[in-house]
Amino acid sequence: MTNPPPSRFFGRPRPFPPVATRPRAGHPRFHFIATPMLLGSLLVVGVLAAVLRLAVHGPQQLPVALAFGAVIVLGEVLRITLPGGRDNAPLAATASLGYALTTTIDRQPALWGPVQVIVVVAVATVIGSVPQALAGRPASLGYLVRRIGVTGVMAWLLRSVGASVVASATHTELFLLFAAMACLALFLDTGLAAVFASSSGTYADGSLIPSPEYPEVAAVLGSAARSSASVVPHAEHTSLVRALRRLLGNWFDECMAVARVCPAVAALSVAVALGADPLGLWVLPIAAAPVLVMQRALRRYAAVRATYQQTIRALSRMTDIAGYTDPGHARRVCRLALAIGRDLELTEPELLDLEYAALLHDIGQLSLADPLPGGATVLATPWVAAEVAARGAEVVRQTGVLDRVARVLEAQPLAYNAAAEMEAVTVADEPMAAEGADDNAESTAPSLADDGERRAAAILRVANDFEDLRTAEPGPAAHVKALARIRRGIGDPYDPCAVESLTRLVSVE
Amino acid sequence: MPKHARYFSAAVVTAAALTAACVFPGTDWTHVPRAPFVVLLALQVLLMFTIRIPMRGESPAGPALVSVMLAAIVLLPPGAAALTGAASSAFMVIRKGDPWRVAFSSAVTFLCAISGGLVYRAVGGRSVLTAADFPKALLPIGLASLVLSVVPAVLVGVFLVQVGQLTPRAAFHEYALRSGPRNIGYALVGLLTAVLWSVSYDALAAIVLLGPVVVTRWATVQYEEQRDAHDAIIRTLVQAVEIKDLYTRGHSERVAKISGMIAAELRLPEDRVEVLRYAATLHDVGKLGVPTRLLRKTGRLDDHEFEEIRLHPSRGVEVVRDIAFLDEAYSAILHHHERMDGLGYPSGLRGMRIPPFARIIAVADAFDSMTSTRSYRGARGSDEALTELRANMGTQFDPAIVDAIAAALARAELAGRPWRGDGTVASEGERGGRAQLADLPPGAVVAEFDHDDPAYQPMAVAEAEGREKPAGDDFGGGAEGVEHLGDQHQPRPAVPPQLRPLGPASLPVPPSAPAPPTRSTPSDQGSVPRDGLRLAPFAAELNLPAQTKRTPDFDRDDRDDREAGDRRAPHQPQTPSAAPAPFDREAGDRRAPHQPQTPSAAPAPFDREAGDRRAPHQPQTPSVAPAPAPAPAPAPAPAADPEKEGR
Repeated sequence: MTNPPPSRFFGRPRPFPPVATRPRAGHPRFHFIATPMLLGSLLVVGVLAAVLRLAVHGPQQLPVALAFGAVIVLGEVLRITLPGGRDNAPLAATASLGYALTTTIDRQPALWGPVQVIVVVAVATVIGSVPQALAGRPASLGYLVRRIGVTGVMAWLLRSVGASVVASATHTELFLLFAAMACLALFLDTGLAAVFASSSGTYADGSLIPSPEYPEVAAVLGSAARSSASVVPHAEHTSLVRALRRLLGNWFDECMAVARVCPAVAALSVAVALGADPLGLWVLPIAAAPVLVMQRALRRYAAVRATYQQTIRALSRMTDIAGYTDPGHARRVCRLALAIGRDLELTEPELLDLEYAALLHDIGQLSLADPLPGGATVLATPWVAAEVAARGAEVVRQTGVLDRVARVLEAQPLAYNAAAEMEAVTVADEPMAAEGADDNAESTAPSLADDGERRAAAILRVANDFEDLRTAEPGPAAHVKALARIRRGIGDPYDPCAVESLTRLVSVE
Repeated sequence: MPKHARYFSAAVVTAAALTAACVFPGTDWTHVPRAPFVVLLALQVLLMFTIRIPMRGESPAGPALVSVMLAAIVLLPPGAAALTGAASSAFMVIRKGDPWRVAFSSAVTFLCAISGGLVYRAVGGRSVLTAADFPKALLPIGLASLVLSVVPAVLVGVFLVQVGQLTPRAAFHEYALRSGPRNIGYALVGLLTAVLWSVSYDALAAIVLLGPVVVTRWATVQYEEQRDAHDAIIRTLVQAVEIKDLYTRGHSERVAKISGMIAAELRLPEDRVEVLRYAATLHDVGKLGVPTRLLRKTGRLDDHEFEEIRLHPSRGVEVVRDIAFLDEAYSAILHHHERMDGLGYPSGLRGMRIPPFARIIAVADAFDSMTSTRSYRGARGSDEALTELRANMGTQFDPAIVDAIAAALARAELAGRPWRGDGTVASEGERGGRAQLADLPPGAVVAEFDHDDPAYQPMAVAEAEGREKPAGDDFGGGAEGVEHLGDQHQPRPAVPPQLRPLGPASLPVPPSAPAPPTRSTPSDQGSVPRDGLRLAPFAAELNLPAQTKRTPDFDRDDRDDREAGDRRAPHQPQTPSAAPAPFDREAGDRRAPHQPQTPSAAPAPFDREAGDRRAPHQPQTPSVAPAPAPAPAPAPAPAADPEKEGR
């Protein structure tokens, strides 16, 4: 195989290392420290210590604590889980942050310290999680760590470290301080969520031989960076810079994901903290009402997302129902494509598109009068494969929100054309760059796939062809034979970086 | 804008002007606190520029505006608060130029604010609120919020009803359930702002307003987004079926429309109509489970293929079972091929046990298949189709629903919108339109036999044992198809030379002699003796060569058929399926030479009285198992299978 030209998107392709020196997937210390388990155990210890201390010293202003605790419980009971695993309880967040920030209530100083804040928030959160846990949706450890940890840190900052500042601040300064603290709390929250998301790659079994029990579709359909059932370890990520870069990317994604409700949470928690002075405990129901109304919209938003997820799942099963493909084929291709994608460090939105495209890539086969043998497009003629891809993209495009996925699907059967790639890089603003053999499907597309989508399409093509070849000849060494065929290349060349990644993943076991 | 709407908006604007004339002189303008006035005015202007113009004609006082206005009402005297509202609404002219609408919305905002302010002051509300004021202060606040959300809802609702965008009931429904609680909830944010402001946080308190306001911008469109998502998903599923069977194009939409008409006639509530429409659009999604080759087959279908197609309701529900918002449509999709006499499929439900939506869809489906164009016959007129529906009333269709569709069609006719099949417009003087063949892509191969068409009802004379005469399945083939059931190994008959091409790419015509239709012999499949088969009326077209030009003389066919009785002209068969779509050549899978399939009997003697005892989505007969399952009993046994039988 000739040396592929350097492509700036995949990084400089490394020469294929000989077997002996291939690194094992390790558990870098950085990741271990950041796991929710460690922080969770620290949190439990901390909460127990706080409870003991509170029991010794006695609580302050118990009715207020109970009132805030009740609102937190209500907020947790009404927690919403967005598809993708992100838990969202705006009312609880508002109330806990408000409790941490309140300095005067009903024209009297608020005497509780950070210890009491931690205890109240922890107890209320746990109590509030019980109904949902009974319904089968327990709060994840990371979520609890974030809620209790961040609130505790804020309370400590304000009440211990900044007590003197608070005592002597004017109203304006107080307002600005509280606003700054609320924003800080939100950033910490999303940052911790990003840390947990980055570290989830250590939960891996390293094997690509599919187990008889296929992973739950929910795990597959979850946000790519969050699937704790992630199959593959990150192969060579001992570099701190790379880990930090991934962390920042995750952080940005988390911020975007919660951007919908966090302005209201921040504003209302500041309002609670400041309004507790004139209004006393009445501030709680007054501030809770808009949050509850907002939760209705959030629930609807989650339902819309869930509906799309369900539709994608239904669509991916269509070919199984119609008897065109092997059951589970789409899920296997999805797992493999995601593994390659993570290995090649696609961003989370790109991974999501790749995931959907992998689940839906066979829909176009429905238009064939006769099913392909085993549903394997790898052995079909290019014209058929292009037609299948185009029909599938047609269907996907009707959803109105999966246009990128549709473009990935259209680009999937295209050959990896290194020259075209480079030309597309230099002639970025000219959509109809001469791309040789890639014209046939792309010219009919409403818009051309951009580089990220073509990257995803190349990965999908490798994953799909590998799976097809592997299931076409079952046997103990099927994956080895399939890998060998891919590396030799069947017909049009594959993306070399994707093939290399596949080699790494398949051989690690 | 209709006249009434114009008068109404003029009246509202006049009322606002009059109120302003009354209130403004009484306001103490020198003592209006300037900072709140300016800040709140600026905030409202900002909202006007950034607010998402509601698509469903919501009141301009969306939740964000209500919260800002409550703050204004508390902090400012009523006249000043109303002025901020009206002045900011006038900025709407920059976004949406229609002066009438801008004037109207300004007037609405003005009236809303002024009434809220007056109510607030009248009930004893004060500008400065402290903890001591609660809970007494909740009364004026609550009343003011209520007024703030009711007044614009009423005014805008009446306007929209005049314009015709909403029915009064829908408008009230939407307000009471959706906007009302939401606006009151967000209004409390305004209260918090007002409280903070009066406790000397001053203009900074307005920042508190910004947070929820930003959120409402996203939150208020979620309802529409959910609706759009549902529509998009349904379009997607329909598209997935259309890439398989091109004739579904338009059929789903038409069935949905007809079902909507029936539902309107039956006065179903709006949300049920929505579910019915979803179910009607997706009723044939189970065709995804039917092999594409069958759907595109141009010849007649044999028993095994009948079985495959008869599975499509249960396959359909398998597809939609995953999708939560289609839960209610599940039963309608599953049972839309049931018959009132219990001889439908897959469950053989009888009479009123069939879910009502399924009954509606059955009627709509049959009606549309009769009034749409097929390649071998034109569309029938609506009245003809109605006659056919009435002929099968009680046996296949629910009489109440047939009456409803007749009434709905008559009503549409009276309103000047007669139903035309295929959505095409018939030329003058024709009843119901013999439309042109729908535009199909070149080279398209389409199904010849529409399984929904009740005209294709092979009937079998009852045996001497007094066996019940089950009605036939409504799959195509008529006499010829049924006759050729036994001829599995005979060569496919030829295509008549006068075959009309479907499109620019004509189908190839292999020149072999047409095999004479033979009586089917009871083969090893144990098929029912077909000797006594007789066609129902309206199946006479099958006697004629396909694709011949026929004048739209519908009476003649009936006359011919009645005169001819049982005599059938030798059928000129359709194009053989050897005319492939381009895919066929590429696909590697050539099916094995077709194995004769036993029409396996029902696994248990089916008790139609008891209705459906099985789980709903299990079909009566096994699906694609190619192993010939021997019929438990010889020839009479398949007769026990209600779908196979003709009457």
